[in-house]
Amino acid sequence: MNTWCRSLLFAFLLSTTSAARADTLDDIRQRGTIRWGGDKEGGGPYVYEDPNNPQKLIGFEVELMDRLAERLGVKAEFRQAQWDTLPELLKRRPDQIDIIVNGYELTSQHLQHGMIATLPYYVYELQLIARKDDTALRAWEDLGKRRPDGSKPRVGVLAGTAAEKYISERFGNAVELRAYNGTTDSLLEVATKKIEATVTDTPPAAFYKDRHRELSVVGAPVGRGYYVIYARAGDERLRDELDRAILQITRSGELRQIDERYGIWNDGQAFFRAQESPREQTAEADEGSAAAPTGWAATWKNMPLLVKGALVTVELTLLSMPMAMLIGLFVALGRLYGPAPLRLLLTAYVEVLRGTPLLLQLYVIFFLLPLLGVNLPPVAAGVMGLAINYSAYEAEIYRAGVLAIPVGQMEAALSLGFTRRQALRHIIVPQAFRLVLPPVTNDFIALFKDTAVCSVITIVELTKQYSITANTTGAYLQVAAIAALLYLAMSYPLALMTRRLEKRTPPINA
Amino acid sequence: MISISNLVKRHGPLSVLNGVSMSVQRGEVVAIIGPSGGGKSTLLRCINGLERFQAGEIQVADVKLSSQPDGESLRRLRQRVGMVFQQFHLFPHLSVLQNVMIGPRIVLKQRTDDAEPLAKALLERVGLKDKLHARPEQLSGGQQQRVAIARALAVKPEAILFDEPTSALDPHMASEVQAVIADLASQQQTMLVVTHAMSFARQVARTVHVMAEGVVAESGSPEEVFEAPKLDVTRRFLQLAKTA
Repeated sequence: MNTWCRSLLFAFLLSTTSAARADTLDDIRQRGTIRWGGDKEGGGPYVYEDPNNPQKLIGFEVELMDRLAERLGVKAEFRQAQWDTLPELLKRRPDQIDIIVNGYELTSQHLQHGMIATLPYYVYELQLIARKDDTALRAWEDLGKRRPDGSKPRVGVLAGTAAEKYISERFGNAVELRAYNGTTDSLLEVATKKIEATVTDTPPAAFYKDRHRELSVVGAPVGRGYYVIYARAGDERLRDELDRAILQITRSGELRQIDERYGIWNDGQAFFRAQESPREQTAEADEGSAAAPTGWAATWKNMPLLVKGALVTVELTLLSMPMAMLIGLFVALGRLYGPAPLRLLLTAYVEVLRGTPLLLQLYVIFFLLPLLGVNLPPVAAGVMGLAINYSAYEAEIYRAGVLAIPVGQMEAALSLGFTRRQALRHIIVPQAFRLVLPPVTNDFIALFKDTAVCSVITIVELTKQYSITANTTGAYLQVAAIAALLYLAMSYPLALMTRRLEKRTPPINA
Repeated sequence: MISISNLVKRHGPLSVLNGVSMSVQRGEVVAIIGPSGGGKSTLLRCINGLERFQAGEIQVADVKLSSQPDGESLRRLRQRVGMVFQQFHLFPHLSVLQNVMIGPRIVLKQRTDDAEPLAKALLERVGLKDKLHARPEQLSGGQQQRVAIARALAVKPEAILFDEPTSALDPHMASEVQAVIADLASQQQTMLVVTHAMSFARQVARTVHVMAEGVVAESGSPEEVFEAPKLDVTRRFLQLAKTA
């Protein structure tokens, strides 16, 4: 009862804060800038760093926003955020962005969940891209068939997009769907033969066709949709101003010039821009069900997915931690007792792995090892990355633990006639084990939560599933609460288990 | 049994042993006394291979140790000489019985069934048969040192080195430990004992060496060394030891 009251109160507070900030348009005029959120990771032709001058952002949305801001009498300011967190950012953090402009499609889901849309600024279609030499994939229908080797075709899409929805609805279990965070990621994956095809919107397909000459478009484009600008519900005045500006630059031909500069102009654009008011036309384009569940109902409905994500988290943890501990033990012993060259090598190993981010290591393993011919499936790459990264930390813990054992212990064992190896195994390591138990437990729990980083290599674990579910249902608070509870339900037993283990092993006062 | 010739050991510029020679016969008990810093403990640690030396040679039974020892001869040497430390160094993660059994199990490859009766007999001999399952931390210092002696005996060494075995103990506990060592002496156990307990050295040893400044200054029977010391060093040391 109490929790319900509290969440009601929280919801109330949220609604009042957004009401108080309702007039974003006034804020924008006062500030002199309109802050638009997007993700550079998505790449061209939307928003990306100029290859010739990486300090500078370019892209058709950058130019679009410059024109629209000009019409509003302000300057446009880009704000970076991970693509699938943009709606949450817009709604939860009005202090960060005013609008979303990043290839966001007009969908009823977004409109139901606290956002309003402007007129479209681009009409897109979905395009299937595969390798030119892949004779088993020459039409959309081929996605429904098994590969010559009997496996399902692997298809990459941008996570949370219409392409993902289209493929899962039309082909379902016939394909193995992989969700990426950037369009360039999935194109590279097709080029390196890790997947068979990718489905992207028309703009990136047109934009990247020169970079990947070994790839080509398969079949005709499908699934027309509309890119719109999203604002917070309640910001109708801002939306109307933006609509007016979009119409102005459409009529003046400026929008067409921008599209042409990025090679994404096509006849479809001319067709919808000829309409005086395309809002009615676009509204019917989205046939999403109006009665989709929201709030707790939506959360319960997604429970199986969240539990599945939690299981992936457990899988990653339970596979990688024992490996990390084993590798760490050998690294620690090598650093303590090995010959000088080995010690140097292992010191470098520890420093490099501790000194570079896990995220980067996962990227290297997943996206760059294929260049050397090593194609690890996502979970294997994730487990390997986590195990290697954490082995460096475990090694340092074990080294400290072994060094904390008094020298007399080793001497006593040697004087009995033990070899050094026997002394380590029977005398030193068992005593060090008790000492390192608390810090290793700590790392176990830390690794468990670090599995979330694996979402960058297309693994959908609990945090990623939270992000996806929260964005599709709009039930951010409820889904976050469930995800947090699932994490706690998994990590707390682990803490209890090690506490018991600690009690069973007697303390050491040597 | 043990023969040491011209042993030289340096720590950087500091000379710890300056050409030490001595020998221990089978069944003999030899005591080494002398002022602190004279090289007594270092000598023991060299005999056991826990410290390297720069020149000279050590021979224990059939094993020769030079200044460049290999791992295998070190291990064979250590199987022939046991060591009892001033600070006991029992294994805190093992029970008293396990402390005594682990040597035979790991080094002599005995099965637990074979190692256990022997370990129990040794613990009975040192007066601890009712402490088999205690943890080292639950024992007094004297009891811990007696476990350490049983542990050293368990791997059947030909000689045992004692490095100030009673220095960390109060007089009562020290006498318990001395009684155990005296008992071993009466059984013809070869032993080399570094000690500051003069009356104990006199009682238990057949030969006494006085070490000072890295050399053996004076040697002889207990009577000779304690009653009629020939050198000033010995006299001064014995005088100080009496008043201390």
